[in-house]
Amino acid sequence: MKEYKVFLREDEIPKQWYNIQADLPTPLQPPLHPGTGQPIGPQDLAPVFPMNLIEQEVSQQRWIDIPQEVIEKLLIWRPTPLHRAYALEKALGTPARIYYKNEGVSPPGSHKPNTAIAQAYYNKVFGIKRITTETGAGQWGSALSFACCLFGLECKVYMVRISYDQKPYRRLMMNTWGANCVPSPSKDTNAGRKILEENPDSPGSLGIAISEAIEDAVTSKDTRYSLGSVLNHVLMHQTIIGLEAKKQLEKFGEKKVDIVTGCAGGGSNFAGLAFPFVLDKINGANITIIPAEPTSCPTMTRAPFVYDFGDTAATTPLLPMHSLGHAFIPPPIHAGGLRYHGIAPLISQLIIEGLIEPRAYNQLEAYASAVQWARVEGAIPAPETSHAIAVVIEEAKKAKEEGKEKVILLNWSGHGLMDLGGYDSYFSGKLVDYPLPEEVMKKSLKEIESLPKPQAVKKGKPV
Amino acid sequence: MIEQYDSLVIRCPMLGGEVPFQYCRKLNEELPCRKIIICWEFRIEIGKFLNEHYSFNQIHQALAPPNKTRLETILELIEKAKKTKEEQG
Repeated sequence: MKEYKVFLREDEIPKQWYNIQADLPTPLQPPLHPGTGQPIGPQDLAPVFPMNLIEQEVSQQRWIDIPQEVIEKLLIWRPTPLHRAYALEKALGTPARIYYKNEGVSPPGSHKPNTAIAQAYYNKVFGIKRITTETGAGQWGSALSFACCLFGLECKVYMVRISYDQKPYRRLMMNTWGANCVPSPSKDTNAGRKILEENPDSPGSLGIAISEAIEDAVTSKDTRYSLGSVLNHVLMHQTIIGLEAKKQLEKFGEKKVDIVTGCAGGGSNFAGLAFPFVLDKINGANITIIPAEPTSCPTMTRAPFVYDFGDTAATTPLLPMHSLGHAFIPPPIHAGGLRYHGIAPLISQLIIEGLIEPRAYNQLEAYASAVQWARVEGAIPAPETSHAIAVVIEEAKKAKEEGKEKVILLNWSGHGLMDLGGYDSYFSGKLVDYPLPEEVMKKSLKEIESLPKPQAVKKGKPV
Repeated sequence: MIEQYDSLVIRCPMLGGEVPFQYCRKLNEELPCRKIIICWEFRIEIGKFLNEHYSFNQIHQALAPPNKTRLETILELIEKAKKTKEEQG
């Protein structure tokens, strides 16, 4: 009888996270303080992050123990199953063997709680009693609400008002987990009150919500702020995905994997699956590792290496990364999780080193792949996940042409049941592809011309 | 008429959700979002729209990059919080 999925026993859950900083051929360049242009120190970040997470952010230790308290919470849904996509293989007529790690089985429905749980724990042991964050449509906000609930922490989520009004379901998830989710701008902060005084009907923005969350964190007792992607420690917390997948592939009888892929917005779910395999590649394994992004937001596939802000609102420290500049907002893609304009610095460095090979797919191709997937494998993927599914289908077809039995591994990062509006737009023909014109990219890059440029380094040598 | 495109809907990549054009044209303290050209130039004549409904100074104000980074704002808030804590003893 064919095996469709492999579970790990609970006692087989990984006990350590993998920190790829220990194995980078070239160490990451330090973030710069935007005021002085000098490398920032732990104290610069201390008002918004607990010191134990700041220590993880800069750690060079290869393996970091996962605290037992974190493991106990992760066991609510982890280890997640590794599935074999027999139906897709058959539909494509490919000799490739396709596997996918199902991160959609978490209570919030995505990979996000892997770091939310860890961040909530480290805040708690540091003595923090309350965490703030911002959210757009609510994926990160719901994950952090869930995590705070499990650790008995208060959670305050500033949700952009237009999404708060239009998208009640994730807000209700947050409420169900006990979080205080308020529409931003709110009356709870100086930043929010100022906006409301001028415009009581303000629909809000992500920039306002971030301002409120950070003001709240730095002015309230025992409170810190939490970010769901981009930062090193966030990516490290996600490596439990790839570490589990390695064990599960062995149980499937696979001795090697040929292609590893995941979608990459800020980079956390891709990194979570891929980094343990990047280690194998550093040690000589022949693996093609592909982060997938939309053609309309080409942060990895076309942009030069520059210093940029870690989020659209330019809130986080200056980080070296592949980016289109903080002024860049991608065209209207239907993949909210891919909305980061700049990929994580760790992923930028891996691109420079040639260890991973990003690809871009247009949104129609991605949606077509998602629908094809749903019609044979059943589960409806999140819009951002569909870009990685496009990689899988492309590579499976290529394996068919070449007559090769390749092993393909996908991070199925979340379900799309909260994003059916995007599918509706696809089916009704409202989606249009927007490949980014060269002149638009140049225009955007002009805005960051004055920022200091890091030297791209590959294997210790400038490139 | 400035409301001519208000009913058009777009997926805001920052929010991860759909918003009407009206949101984009009023996001920035009643002025257009700084990203309005990039998001809308393939769907409507956004340059013409801006020129018809806003002055040069308004367009400049709306589309200009921020003169202060968010991290600078955070550092200001940290200093403010420290002062507040000092005042509270």
